[in-house]
Amino acid sequence: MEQDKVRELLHRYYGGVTTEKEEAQLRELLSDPSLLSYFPEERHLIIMNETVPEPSDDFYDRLTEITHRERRMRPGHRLLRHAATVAAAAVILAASWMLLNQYRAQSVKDTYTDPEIAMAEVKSILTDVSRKMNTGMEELEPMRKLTEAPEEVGEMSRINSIVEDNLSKLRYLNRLDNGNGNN
Amino acid sequence: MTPGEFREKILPQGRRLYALAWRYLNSREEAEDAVQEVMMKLWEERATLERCENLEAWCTTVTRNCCIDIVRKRNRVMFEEMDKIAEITVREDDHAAASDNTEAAMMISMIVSRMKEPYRSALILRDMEGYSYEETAEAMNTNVNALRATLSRARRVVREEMKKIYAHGTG
Repeated sequence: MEQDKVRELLHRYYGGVTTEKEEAQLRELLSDPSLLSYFPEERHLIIMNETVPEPSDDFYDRLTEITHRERRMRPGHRLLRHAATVAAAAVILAASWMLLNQYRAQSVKDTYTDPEIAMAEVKSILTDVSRKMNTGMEELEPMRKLTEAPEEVGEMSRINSIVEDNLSKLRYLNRLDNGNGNN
Repeated sequence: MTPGEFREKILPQGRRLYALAWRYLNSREEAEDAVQEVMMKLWEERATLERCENLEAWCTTVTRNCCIDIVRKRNRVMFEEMDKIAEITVREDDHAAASDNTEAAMMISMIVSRMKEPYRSALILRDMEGYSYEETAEAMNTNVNALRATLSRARRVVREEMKKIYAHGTG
């Protein structure tokens, strides 16, 4: 009777359809050595959930220790932390202000108070620039030949096409002559 | 979550998580290290743990993932398909020793540890550690029907392997 029950439960167990209660019942039935003797191949079912070895003695202490690694900051420390933050912000602001002032000091300033003198200076500079503007143009003269070369190449290709055209006409006439001679 | 709450709700899970880790790793030292690593991770994330609906399930999932990572790092032999587990070569003395319950338990652990996921986790959580189907499915991020199919196949493989061992041991 019980053997049949075990067989039925085993069938359901390997089919993956047993309930948790049925599985517990199956293990209980198989824990009876006399019944297990009919199902020696199923012995592993009562061994599978054997208890694991106990952890070492200091295991729980090590776990508890984890929660002490980061203690809550004391109020004094918290105040010090805020003060340090404010001080750092003040230093950054002061440095930014100093850099900005330095930049302004380096920017262009008016050099002449008298507009006439300023205008004379500008004219002098512009005259100097215009005088020196054409300096070195002679050295660039050979460079102009480089722009002329493509034009000449273009002319050559035009001549070549005319010659080729005429040659083809001559070849045609030559073929005609040869044809008349054969006849 | 305050440190007090953490000590009250999470730390007591240590023993349960250790047992789970041991099933995966088959080593007390490694299982303890794994649980310690899990606890450190949970401690660092304790601010977000309050939002967790099921702390126990979450701890199980984190431990399972941690153990799977460790096993992966060990570069153990992984089988492409469950059927290949039948090709496990068991030493002659292992066969003989299987007659003893402790040795048989070791053989089961060996077979299970060489299984591929999700078969390994299904067997460890449900059949070895006795988690309910719902808890197991949640920890494995699957549903109960899929879990049952996985378990069915995994159980058959264990039976076939153990059958070979018993046959060899008694023959």
